[in-house]
Amino acid sequence: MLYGRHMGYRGDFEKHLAAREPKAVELFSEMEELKNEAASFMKVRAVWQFFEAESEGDALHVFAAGAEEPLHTWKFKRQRSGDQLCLSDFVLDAQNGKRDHVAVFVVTAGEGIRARSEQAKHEGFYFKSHGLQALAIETAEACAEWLHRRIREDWGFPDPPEMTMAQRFTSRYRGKRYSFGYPACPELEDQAGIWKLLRPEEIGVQLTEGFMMDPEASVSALAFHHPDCTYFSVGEGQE
Amino acid sequence: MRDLKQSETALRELLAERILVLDGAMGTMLQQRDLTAKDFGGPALEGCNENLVRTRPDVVLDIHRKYFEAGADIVETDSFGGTPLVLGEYGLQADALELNKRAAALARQAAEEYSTPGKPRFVAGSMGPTTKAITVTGGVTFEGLLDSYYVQAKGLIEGGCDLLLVETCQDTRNIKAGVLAIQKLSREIGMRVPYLISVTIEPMGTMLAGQTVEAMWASLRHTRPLAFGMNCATGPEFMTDHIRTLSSVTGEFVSCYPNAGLPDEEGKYLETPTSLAAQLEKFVNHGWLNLVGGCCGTTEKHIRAIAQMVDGKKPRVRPQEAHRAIYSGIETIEADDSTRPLLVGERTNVIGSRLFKNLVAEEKWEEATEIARRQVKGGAQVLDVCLQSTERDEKKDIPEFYEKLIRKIKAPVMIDTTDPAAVRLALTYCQGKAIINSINLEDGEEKFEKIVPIAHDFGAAVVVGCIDEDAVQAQAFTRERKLGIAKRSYDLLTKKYGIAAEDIIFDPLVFPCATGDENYIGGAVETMEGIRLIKAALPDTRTILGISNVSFGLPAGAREAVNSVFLFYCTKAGLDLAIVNTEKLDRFASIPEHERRLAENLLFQHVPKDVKADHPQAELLRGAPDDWRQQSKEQKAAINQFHIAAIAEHFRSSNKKEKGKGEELPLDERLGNYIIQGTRDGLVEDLEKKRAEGVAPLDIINGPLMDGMAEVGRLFNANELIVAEVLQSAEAMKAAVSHLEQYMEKAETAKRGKVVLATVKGDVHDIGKNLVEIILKNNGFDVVNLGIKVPPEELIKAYQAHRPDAIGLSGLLVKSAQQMVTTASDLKDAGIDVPLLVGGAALSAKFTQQKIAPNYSGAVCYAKDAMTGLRLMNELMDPATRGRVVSEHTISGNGVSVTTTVKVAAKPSVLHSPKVRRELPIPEVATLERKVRLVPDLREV
Repeated sequence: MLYGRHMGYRGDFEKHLAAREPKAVELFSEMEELKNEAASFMKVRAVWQFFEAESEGDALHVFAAGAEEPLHTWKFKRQRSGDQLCLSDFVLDAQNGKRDHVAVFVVTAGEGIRARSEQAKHEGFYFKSHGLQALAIETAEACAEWLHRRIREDWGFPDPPEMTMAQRFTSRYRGKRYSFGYPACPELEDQAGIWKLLRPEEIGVQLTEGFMMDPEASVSALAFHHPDCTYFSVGEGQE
Repeated sequence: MRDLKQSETALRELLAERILVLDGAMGTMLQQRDLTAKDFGGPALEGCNENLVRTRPDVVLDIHRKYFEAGADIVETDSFGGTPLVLGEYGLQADALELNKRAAALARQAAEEYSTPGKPRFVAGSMGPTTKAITVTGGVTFEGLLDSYYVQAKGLIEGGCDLLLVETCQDTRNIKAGVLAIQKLSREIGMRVPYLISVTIEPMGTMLAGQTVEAMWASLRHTRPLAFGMNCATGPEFMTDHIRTLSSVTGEFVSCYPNAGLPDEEGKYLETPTSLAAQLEKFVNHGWLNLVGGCCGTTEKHIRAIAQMVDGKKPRVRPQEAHRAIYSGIETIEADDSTRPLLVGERTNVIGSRLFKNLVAEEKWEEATEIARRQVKGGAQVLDVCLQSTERDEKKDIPEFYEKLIRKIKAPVMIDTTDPAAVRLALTYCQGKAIINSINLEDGEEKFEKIVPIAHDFGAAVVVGCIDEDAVQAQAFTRERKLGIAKRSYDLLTKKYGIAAEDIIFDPLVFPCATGDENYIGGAVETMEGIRLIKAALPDTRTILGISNVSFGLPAGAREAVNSVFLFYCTKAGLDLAIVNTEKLDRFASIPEHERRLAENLLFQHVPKDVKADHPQAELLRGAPDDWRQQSKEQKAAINQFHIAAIAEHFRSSNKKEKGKGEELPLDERLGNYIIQGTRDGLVEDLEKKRAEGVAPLDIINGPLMDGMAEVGRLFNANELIVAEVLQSAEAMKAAVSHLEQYMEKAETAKRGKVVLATVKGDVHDIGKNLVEIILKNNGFDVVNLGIKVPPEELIKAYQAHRPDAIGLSGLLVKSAQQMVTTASDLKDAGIDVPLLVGGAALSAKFTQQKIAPNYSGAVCYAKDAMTGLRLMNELMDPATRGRVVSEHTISGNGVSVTTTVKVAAKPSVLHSPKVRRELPIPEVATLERKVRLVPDLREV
C-alpha cells in the first residue's frame, strides 16, 4: 500500500524489490531513510475499550458493565437486497442475562506529521513531504491491525501462530472491524459516538466539523467477534 | 409607416411586464403547403420564399394569422433573404425594396386583425445574415453589405414594421454593417428604429466567424439594441451556457428562439411542441429571457405550447451594466484589476519598427502580419497597428494588411492613426471592439469632433492623450496638468460627446528621463503620480502608457531594465494598459537588485547616497531634497547626470558579460531559470546536458524544473510577476516536459485512472491545472487536458468521448469559482456524476462544500493543491477508500451538514439477516476497562 498507493510505484513492489529492480530499490531505501528519521519523532498512540452490547433490529446499544441504560446507541443501515445485512446483526442476543461485547478503538500516528510535512513541502522536499504523510497513514493502518489482533486475543481468539502478516492483512481471522465512512456504515456522523465513548482527544485525535479525524493519519473502528462477519455495502446512494 | 417611438415604448413596457412570444418558422410552415414552382412565380424562382409575398400573399398571410392565433405577440415578416444581395441570386435585386415592403404590409395586416388593447400585436422585419459572412466567405465589401441591408431595412420600415430583427448572425462584421444601415435609416426618417440582434452559435461554441456570445456582446453593446439574443443553430439544449452568459452580461432585453432541436439525418427536427417548451421553460425559470419563440422546424403548435408555458411567468429583470472595459478581437480581454497591465504589442508600427516599415514598403503582407502574430505569441494581449506614414497611402495599405491580420490574430487591435477616414476603414475589418489611438485637445475639440462619431458607429474605445491647446507646453508634464487635461477631456467626452467612461483610456504621456534634457527631469515621477491622480479622480476610466519612451537615449541593456522597472511602478500606481515590446521585456523579478536600484534612482531622481568625496559636484548632490520638485535647477541636473552616468557605465561594462550570463550558473539553476523567466532559448540543450549526466527525465521535472515552478508561484504571490509572465513560465514548463516525455517510459501496466482536466470558462490560467496534469501523469494517470476557457458543453462532450473516472476543474479568478458552480450544475443536468475535483486560488473548501457540491449529484472534492488532487485521485481509484472519499464529498451523502431528503424506496422487511447465525456462545472478554497506550516502537507493528 505504501509504495503502490502512496508513493506511486507501478507494478508489484515486493516482487520488484526482491528482483532488485533499481527503481524499487531506490524507493525502498529512500523510504527506509524516511522511516528511520520518522522513528525518532513519530508517535503511535491507541485508545480502546470493550463494551457490553445488545442489538435491537438495526440499532446497536452499548452499555457500561451491567448498566440498564445504554451509554450510546448507533442506528445502522440495513442492505435493501441480497443478504440484508446490518452491522447490528453481528452482536449476539444476551444469554442468561449476559450480554455480548463490541470493541471500540482509535489509533493515530499523526502527531506533528502535518507540520513536518508542510515544512518539508515548504522547503521543496516534496518527496519527504508526501512520504511522511503516507508513512503516517500506513503506520496508523498497521497499528489498527496490531490492536485488532490484541482485541481478538482478549476475546480468546488468538491468531494461529503460523498466520502471516499478509494473511492478517487480508482479514483471514475471526470477526471484523468496521470504520465509519466505509460501505457497511457510511455515516461519518456516527464517529461522534466513538468520541463520546472513548474520548480520543486524550491521544490527540479530534473530530472536525465534518466528523473526519484530525490528524488524518488516524483510524477508528468498531470490532465484532462474530464469525459470520463480512464486509458489505448498505448502498449509501439510496438513502 | 408606424410611429416607431410609440412601438418601442409599448414593446419596452410589455417586455418589462411579461415574457413576449415570437412566432415560429416561416420556412417550415411554407414547406408544409407543398407549394409548386408556379406558386413561386416560375421554376427560376422556386425556393425564393421572399417572392411569395407577391405571388401567394394568401399563404403568407395565413401563416401570420396562425401564429397570432397560437398566441404570438410578434410575428416576423417573410423577408429573411430579402436583401438585394440574396435576391440577386434569383435576379430579383431590383425588387428588394418592394418585396420587403409587401412582406411588412402582409404581417401588418394580420397584426391589425388580431391586436386588442390587452394584447397588442407587433411586426418584426426579418433581416437574415445574407449569403455572405464577410469575414469567412468574403465576396462582398463592408460598404456593399451596408447598402444591401439599408435597402431591406427601408422597405420593411416603410411597409409597417414596428421593429427590425437582425437575425441568425454568424459574423459580427455583418451585424455591424446591418446596424449601421439601420442607424442610417433612423437618421433619415428622424425616428429611432428599434431592433434586435440575434446570433447563431455553432456547436463548437462560437459564431461562424469565431466570436463567442460574450465577445459579440462586448463588440456590439454600444449599439444599444432593444434586445440581444440567440436563434437557430443547435436547438435549446446547447444554448444553455450561451444564454446564461448573455443574460448575465447585457443590460438589454434577452431573446431566444431556437430550432426545434438538431435535425436528424433526414433533416427532420425532433423537438415536439411539449419538449421544446419544456426546455425553454428551464431558461425562463432561471430568469434569463424576455422574449421567446421558435426558429427552424417550429410550427404554430410549438408556439402555442411556448405561449402557454410563459403565461404568468416572470420576465428577466435587466441588470445594471457595470463599467467594464472590455476589448475584443475574436476573443475578449477585460482591463480590470486582475489583468493589469494589459500588454499592447508595439512592433506592428511603421514608425517604431524599421523591419515592419520595410515589409509594408515592399508590400510583403504575409511577413508583415507575421510580426503581429509573433507579438501576440510573445504575450501581447492587444496589438497596436500603425500604418500611417508620410511615404505611403495608409488607406491603400489598410485593406491589404487587415484582411490578413484578422485571420492571424484573435486579440483586439489598437488602431494607431490620426486620419479619421483611415480609422473608419480599419474598423470595418474588426469584428471586435477595437481601440482608437488617439485623440487629444491639441487643436481644441477638432479631433474629438471627427473621431468620436466613428467610435460611436463602431463601438471603439479611445485613447485620449493629456495634451491641450497650451502654446508653450501642449503635452502635460506635471501631474497636476495631466489631471487637469484628463478631467476636461472626461467632461467633454462623457457629457458633450456621449462616450462611456469605461471607453476612455487616458495616456498621461511618458517623457525620456535619460536624455539629459533638463525639461524632462522628474518626468517619470510625474507620469506615475499622474496615473495615480487620474485613477483616483476618474475611477471608471482606464490608463495607458508607451513605456519604452522613458529610457530613450540609454544603451540597449539599460533600456530594458529601466523599462521594466518603470512598468512595475506604473502598474503599482494603477496603470491599465502598457504599450511595450513584449519580446524584449525583462521581468522585474529577474532584474538583479543592483540594476534595479540604478533604474529606480534614475526614474525617481533619488538623491545619491554613495557620492565619492572627490566628485566634482559632491556638495550639490549631498544636500539635495528628496522630492525632485524641491531640488534646485543645478541639483536636478547634477543628480540626473549622476544616475545616467552610473547606469550607462554599469551596462557598458556588463555588456560583454551579458551573453555568457546564463552559462555561468550551475546547470540546475539554469534549468530553474528557464521556468522562472519563461524562456525557452537554450532550454532543450540544457535539458539534454542534464540527461547526459544520467538524470532520469522525471527527476529533472521533479527537481530543478519544479523548483523553478515553485519560485514562480512565490514571485506571483509577491506580486513580482504579472499574469502574462506566469503564463509564459507555464509554457516553458510545458515545453520542457514535452521534450522530456519522449524519454519517459510509457506506463507498462494499465493506467490507474483517467481524468479530464479543464480551466473553466472565462479563465485563462493554465498553470495550476498543468501542474496537476504533470503530477497526475507522472503518477500513472491518463490525463485529458482540455485547456483553458472550457465551457460546460465542451466538458460534457469530453466526458462522453473519454469516460473519465473524474473531472478536474481549475480556475484562478474569483468569477471562476462561480463558473464552477454553473459548470457543475450543467454537468449534473447532463447526467454526469463522476467525482469532480476543483481547485484554484479563489476557491475554498467551504465554497466547494456550500456552493458547488449542492449543485452536483456526485462528489465534489476541493483540491487545495496539485498534491491534494493526486491524493484524492488515488483514494478515488482505490476501492478500499473510494466509498469514504465519495461519501465525504457528496452533499446528498454524508459528512456535510446538509440534511438528506431522498426518499427511501422500501424499508427492509427483516430485522436480522438470515446469513448471520444467532445461536453461538458469547465469548468472554478479559476486561471492560478503557485502555490508552503509546505504542513504543514502530517496528513492533
